[in-house]
Amino acid sequence: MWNATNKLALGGLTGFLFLGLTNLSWAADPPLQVSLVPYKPRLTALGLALKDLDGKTITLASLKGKVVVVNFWATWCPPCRREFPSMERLREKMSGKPVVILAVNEGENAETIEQFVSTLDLQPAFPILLDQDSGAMAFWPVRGLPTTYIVDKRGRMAYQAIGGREFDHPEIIKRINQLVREK
Amino acid sequence: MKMHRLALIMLAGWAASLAFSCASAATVLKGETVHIISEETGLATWETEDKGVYFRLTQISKEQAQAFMLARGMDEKSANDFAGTCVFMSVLRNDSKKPIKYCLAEWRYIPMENTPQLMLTKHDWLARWQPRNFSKPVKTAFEWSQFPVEQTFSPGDWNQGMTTYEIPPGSRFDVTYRWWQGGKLFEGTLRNVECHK
Repeated sequence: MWNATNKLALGGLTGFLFLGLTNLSWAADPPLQVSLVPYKPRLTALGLALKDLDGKTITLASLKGKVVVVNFWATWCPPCRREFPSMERLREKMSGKPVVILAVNEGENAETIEQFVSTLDLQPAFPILLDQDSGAMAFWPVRGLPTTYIVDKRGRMAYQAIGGREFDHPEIIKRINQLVREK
Repeated sequence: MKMHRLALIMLAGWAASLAFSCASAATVLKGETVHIISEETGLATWETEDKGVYFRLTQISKEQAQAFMLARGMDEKSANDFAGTCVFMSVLRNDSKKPIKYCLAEWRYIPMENTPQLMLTKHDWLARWQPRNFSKPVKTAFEWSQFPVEQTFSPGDWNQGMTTYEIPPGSRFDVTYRWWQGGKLFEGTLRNVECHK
């Protein structure tokens, strides 16, 4: 039978060890990539309607006319954590342009996500959506985390990226700017 | 009756040809295995690359594996089951110029002086734990933290996840990993990997 002190101690130990695991992965991980794989032909994007951390429902359909970066992630996924700050830098660099980033979290609650976000130097100003039952991820062709899709202004899948990316790298920004210029 | 027998023979022939193609068609590569020990953690990594396909295993200690699962809400018994095997953080990356596809069912791990073993997948674990009725968040976190059972990687794509090996702590093994590229099956080997002690 665990009392509150034991639970607290276990929680602290768990957090410490999990951080250890994360740091281990960060220390030895391969570099984040900068490639995007184009869809040929571009297919109509699947639907997405999820609540954000404030309880507001966001749908992909409502973002037609904008380039949308849809990133599937979780706080326990080391490459997801590594690439997360680059999405905020991308958002800043795309400021004033019709580009939206949606970070779809898999299976975690708002508290866990907020704990992770509070550790970041750069606070994300893009919506974080809750896919608590992984319904959206099962619907989209995701096989592993992180996976990212870039949807063009007409609501079609333009690019896919499996694994961690440096989203504010000039190569990726160039591709997104090309999508912004499309009619 | 004749039709049934014919169908059965055709099916057996198809299965035999499939088994033959999987067992013998791979081009076996001889990439060198590099062994690195982290000064920070003391944990070891083994990595290799063949034809632009990079594969790496990094030890995860029993305590780390257990803590990771407990932090995701898994019960102690299941977390101990999992952490009681050899757990590795595994990375596969496609640095080549063509897409690759892999399927864990085609990979094997070979304990020293032993026969090749099938990889233990997330589906195997969930089947063992089926009576324990995990909550959806626990199941989701477990499933997605494991190395995907199959995936297609375009150039530049990569993924990371845990793989598990049922061998005693401190023992050594090889892993043969296979991937399809341009209609051909290739096989690389990560050699002399050591389970954490």
